[in-house]
Amino acid sequence: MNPSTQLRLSTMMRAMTDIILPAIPASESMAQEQSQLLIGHIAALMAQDGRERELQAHNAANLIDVAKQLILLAELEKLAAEKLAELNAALAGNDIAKIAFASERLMADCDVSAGFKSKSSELMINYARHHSVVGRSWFSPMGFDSKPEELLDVASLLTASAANN
Amino acid sequence: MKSSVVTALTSGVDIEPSIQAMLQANFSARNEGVYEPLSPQQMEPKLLAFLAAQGLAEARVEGFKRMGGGASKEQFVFDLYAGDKFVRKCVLRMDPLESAVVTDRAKEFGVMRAVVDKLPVPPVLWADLHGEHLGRPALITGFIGGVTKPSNNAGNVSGLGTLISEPFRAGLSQEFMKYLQIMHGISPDFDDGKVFQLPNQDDYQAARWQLNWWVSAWRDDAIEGLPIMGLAERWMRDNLPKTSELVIVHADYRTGNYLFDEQSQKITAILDWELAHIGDYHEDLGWIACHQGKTNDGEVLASGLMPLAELCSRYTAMTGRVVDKQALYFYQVLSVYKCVVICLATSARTAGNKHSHQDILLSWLTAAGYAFVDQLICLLEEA
Repeated sequence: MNPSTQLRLSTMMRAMTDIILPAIPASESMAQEQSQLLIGHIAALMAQDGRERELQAHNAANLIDVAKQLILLAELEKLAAEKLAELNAALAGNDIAKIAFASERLMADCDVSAGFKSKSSELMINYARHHSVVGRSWFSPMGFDSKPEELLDVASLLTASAANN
Repeated sequence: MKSSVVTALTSGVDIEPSIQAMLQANFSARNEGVYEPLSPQQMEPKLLAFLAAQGLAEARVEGFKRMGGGASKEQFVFDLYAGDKFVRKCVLRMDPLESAVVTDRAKEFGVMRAVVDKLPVPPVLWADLHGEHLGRPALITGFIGGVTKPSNNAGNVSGLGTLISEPFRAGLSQEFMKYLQIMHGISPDFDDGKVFQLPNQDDYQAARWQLNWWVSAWRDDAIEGLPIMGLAERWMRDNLPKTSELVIVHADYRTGNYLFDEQSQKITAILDWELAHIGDYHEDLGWIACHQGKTNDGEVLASGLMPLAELCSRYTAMTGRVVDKQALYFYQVLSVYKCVVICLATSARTAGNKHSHQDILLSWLTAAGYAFVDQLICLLEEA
């Protein structure tokens, strides 16, 4: 599509850096800061290259997978029956938002066996580690990460994901 | 949801009553429309009317303008005159509809008044606690000069991850510890429970109140569920620490929230008291620890100043208080949990609701949430 998203973003960037930001008086500190944040957001959008839906699909597939594993662990837990039913219903409806919240609520339940706690902790830590690397990689252009050596660029991340699936 | 999850908790037992009321009030504000910040030109007449109502004769304001920085409150700076006589430079801090974190101006006002004789704190001059005059709840304080990081330091606009450069580290660490000691030495029952309730009904109440506060904020504000937050909640409920001694907890004491003079390397002001409450001294230590600056050699410094072990040993040497490893660990987990709540839940929801003057900063801050999730995973794995 012409003009491409990348072209439109790069022109926004140029307008911000060459014309708009220099026109803001130094005394207007909040306007200066917000302009710099806008430039930062545009730079991140350019690096992310319009691939948010692919990323969402990747995250959804992983969430469904871990939720199914959590159900297998939780089926032996009589005390967690109500929360387990919620998660099962969310999975049956393929409702990603509800699956995430139901998994979280099931994990928060203290009234479960020590065995379930141990196994579910291991499951969720492994899942969360991958999920957080994806999130950190996606937002790495924003410069918050103290361990950038662990991160992948977005293209490599999604290519690796496609290969795994 | 029609009301905050916090309403299901037993007031005074499982949650501080004023925090319960604050969270519910904030929840109700969600239905408000887009927040429309007023320009300095629109604000100035309101400010003058407010000052007149405070009895300030012939109040006059010059140089009224917005200040940069800060993800939560609208801030303006101005020179205050009484007639032709210059009174002082002032700061107006005002609530937007919502922000990165929900807080209460009455608490900020009360604690700053309580500590102003003992700590370098901007003097609180006037408060419009319910926004009757200024449109939104607000405080006016004296302006104090200083910087939040050395002028040669790089850093994010959020102030997160700041490493204090080496020439400043020793001097600022000494100042930082000195004021932590003084703050934790002030009697926690300074206002007879009017604004700050004491969690002294059982040994676990201080930790339980904090945990319930932040779990409620997460559950009210989260846009996406995160199973690791459920695991963190379960771990904290299973590992609540006893509290041996109550202190005034600043709850946001870290590099970025104090001002200092670059020449003398002295702290000139401790800022952002809005989260202050009565609690366990380990809580401030855990918060300091979770704000990490990393040196070129890969050493992690608590609040960009000193290693965690040094923070704890200096604290014990200065205060005589033992740092209990399990209690500290609990508060480290809670601190990182809070950072995830602030970034991934409240900031994102507020920006989505268009309820702040800093929506663009809040959506920027949201992205930092994944780095805190990584920290949370490391802590839970080690636990």
